[in-house]
Amino acid sequence: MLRIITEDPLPPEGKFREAIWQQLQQLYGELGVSRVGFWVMSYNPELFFSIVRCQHNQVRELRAALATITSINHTPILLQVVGMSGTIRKAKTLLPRQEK
Amino acid sequence: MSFYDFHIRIKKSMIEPSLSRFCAIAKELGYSGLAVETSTLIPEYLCENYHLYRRLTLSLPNASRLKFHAKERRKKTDLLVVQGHTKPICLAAAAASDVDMVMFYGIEDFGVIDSLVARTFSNQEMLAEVCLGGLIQSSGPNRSRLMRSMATAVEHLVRANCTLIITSGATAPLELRAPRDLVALAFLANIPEDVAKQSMYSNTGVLSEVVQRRVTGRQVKTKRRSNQD
Repeated sequence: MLRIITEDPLPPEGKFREAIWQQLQQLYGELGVSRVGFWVMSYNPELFFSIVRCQHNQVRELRAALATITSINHTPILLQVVGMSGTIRKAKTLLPRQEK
Repeated sequence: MSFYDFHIRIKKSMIEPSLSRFCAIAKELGYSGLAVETSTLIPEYLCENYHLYRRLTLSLPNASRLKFHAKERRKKTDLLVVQGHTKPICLAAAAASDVDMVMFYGIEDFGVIDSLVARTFSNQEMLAEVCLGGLIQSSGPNRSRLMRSMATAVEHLVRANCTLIITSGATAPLELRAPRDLVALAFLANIPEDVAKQSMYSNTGVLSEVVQRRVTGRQVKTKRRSNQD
């Protein structure tokens, strides 16, 4: 689960997904991206959060790629991993508690 | 557990607004304190409830006057760092008691580290700062060269059992990274996970205690002097 920290309005989901995808591709290549198994499961620009999915043994690779992202669509941005879960359902239940 | 990022760079003219924004984001990311590259005094209200240290990085052309410069600047800053861009500078800095840490940032800096430098650091108990800012700010061929250079350097440092300090080298508040994210980023520089965790979770805490003692000692001295006057 990612928290998106920025001073500007959030970019659309497509740009967000593309930015992470490109960063993964730059770092690990197409073969690496397929191994990571990255996908955006949920993107909420109002709450400034997103849930992304990856293979359980590729978490470090994804975290490293997320840490190298400095801007999306010319918007300075900071992606902070605030939680991890084995299931999407559990990840979704984590968020409201943290936001309260 | 308390986390610290010992390398933040701010423009001199922007220190107050920028630093307050840095502090706000650093608190959100879980940091207990920051070390700011500045020679000017940090406003006192920012230091309340938060550890903010002044840091000075010496970037010298050669090692001949390193001790003199270090001694001269020691009293003006909380944390004195030397950029290790040549081998003689690294060796001289390791022997200088006034220097707290030797910083490695770019490809040239990491290229300097060999087994001799690593062993000297280990023997003299000198801290080696591995700044990951280059990994965040660069891309493409430059980044891959940097990763290769860092990996070789870190291999020497880890083999010699050196104490590492990982920093972000952030120039803007949104360039800060959470401690766990920096540990993940260290994976790109081939830093073993346990070493990265130790450098982020315990080494920075120990260094902070040393700096805090120094700051407190200085404040006591200043108070005594003002009382005598």
